[in-house]
Amino acid sequence: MTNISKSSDLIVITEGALITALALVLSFVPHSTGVSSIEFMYGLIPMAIFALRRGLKAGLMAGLVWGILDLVLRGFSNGGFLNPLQGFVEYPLAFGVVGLIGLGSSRVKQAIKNGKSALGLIIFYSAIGFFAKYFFHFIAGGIYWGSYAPKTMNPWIYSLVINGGSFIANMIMMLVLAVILNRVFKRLIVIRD
Amino acid sequence: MDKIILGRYLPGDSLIYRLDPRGKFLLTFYFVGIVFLANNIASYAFLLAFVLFAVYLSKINLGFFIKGLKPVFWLILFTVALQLLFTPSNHPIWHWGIFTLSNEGLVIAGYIFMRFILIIFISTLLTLTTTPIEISDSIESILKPLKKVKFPVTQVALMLSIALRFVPLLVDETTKIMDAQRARGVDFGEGGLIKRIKSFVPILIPLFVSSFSIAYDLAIAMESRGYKDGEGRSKYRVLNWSKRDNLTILFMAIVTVILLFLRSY
Repeated sequence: MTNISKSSDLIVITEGALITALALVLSFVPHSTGVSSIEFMYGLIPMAIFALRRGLKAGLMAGLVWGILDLVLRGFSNGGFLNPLQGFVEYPLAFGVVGLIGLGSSRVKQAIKNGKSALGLIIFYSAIGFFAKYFFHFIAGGIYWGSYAPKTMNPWIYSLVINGGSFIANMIMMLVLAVILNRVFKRLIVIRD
Repeated sequence: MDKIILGRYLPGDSLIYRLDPRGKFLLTFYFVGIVFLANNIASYAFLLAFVLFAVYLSKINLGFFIKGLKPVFWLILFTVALQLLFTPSNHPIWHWGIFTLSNEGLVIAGYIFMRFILIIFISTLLTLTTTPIEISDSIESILKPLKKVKFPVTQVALMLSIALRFVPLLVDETTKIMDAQRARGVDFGEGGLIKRIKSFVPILIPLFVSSFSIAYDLAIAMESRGYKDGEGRSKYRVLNWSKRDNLTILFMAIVTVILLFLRSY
């Protein structure tokens, strides 16, 4: 059987593509948190694992592709694109920055190789990526309400509540899964040739 | 979940279908931008006439476009109600507590409603007449100039097309796993927060494993067929920019000039 190095550029691209497809598909799994407008974004989990496994550049690329496909497959059909600037910030930018989780790739891998749990590092770097994502959704929400809400209303408050709530809900999700699946996550993050 | 990959594409044949997807995609963005220039009844009426003309040219029943409003129905209702009840005015028709109904509020609510209709109709026109594959091919082509600033366009483009190709396969796999879990009594989206998160574990792990395994097999298959990088590769789906696309851009420029005129009228 042909063999290929698990660190080759090509496998980084194919893995990134499959993880993006997975992230996209997971958004069609029921994801209500019980509070309306605040939802789990299951796709963040594979993206976080991929960014930690393959690093910053690969993570940013996969995040960008995820954003583009989410706009194409869901955004245009669900009324998610209602202002050009909001559309750009809400999709390519907000999804792309999830790849910032990749900033922690080498530290997390090193910790795992040293036999540590790496739980704290996984949560910390995931928080960076998740925060960046919801920060841009917050900005996009402000742009949207700024162009659609009455002038007397503060467009940022509603956006802050919804996106702040989504950030917290998704951090809880990441924390619970990282605790339950700590051993699995570690195996997925480290590349074994 | 089966319809994800086709989005809302409706097979058909008309002038709008035959336009180059790159032009359609960019003009949709452009149109959504110029909608915000409209500021009076004449300009909104003109844009509505333009959108209805585009709908007519697409030969698609207007009902499909009205259906497009369904996912945003509550957002439209909420936003229009906000404008109706909270627009400040010195001459209110009706006033109760924090709520104020005025002529200004009615007019602005009407404009905001029109803005929704115009934007949703034009993006529905794009998704009904263009497949997601065509849209992602267009995005790939639009990103090309970014090569000059060392943006990894070829890698992103390859990732985009592979991801799109594998969405249906992973949808199938996800559906099978979820059905198997449901048969074991798992209730997705029910119970407390932690229970909902835990019910996701049996879906996540098998999907992770199969995604990595497919990615590995695909990379081997591509490498054994001599794949190097994206440079100089020919395309299976070739986009053709024709005279009618130039004419559409010219037409859109005329629409913009008329809109600017009506705006200051």
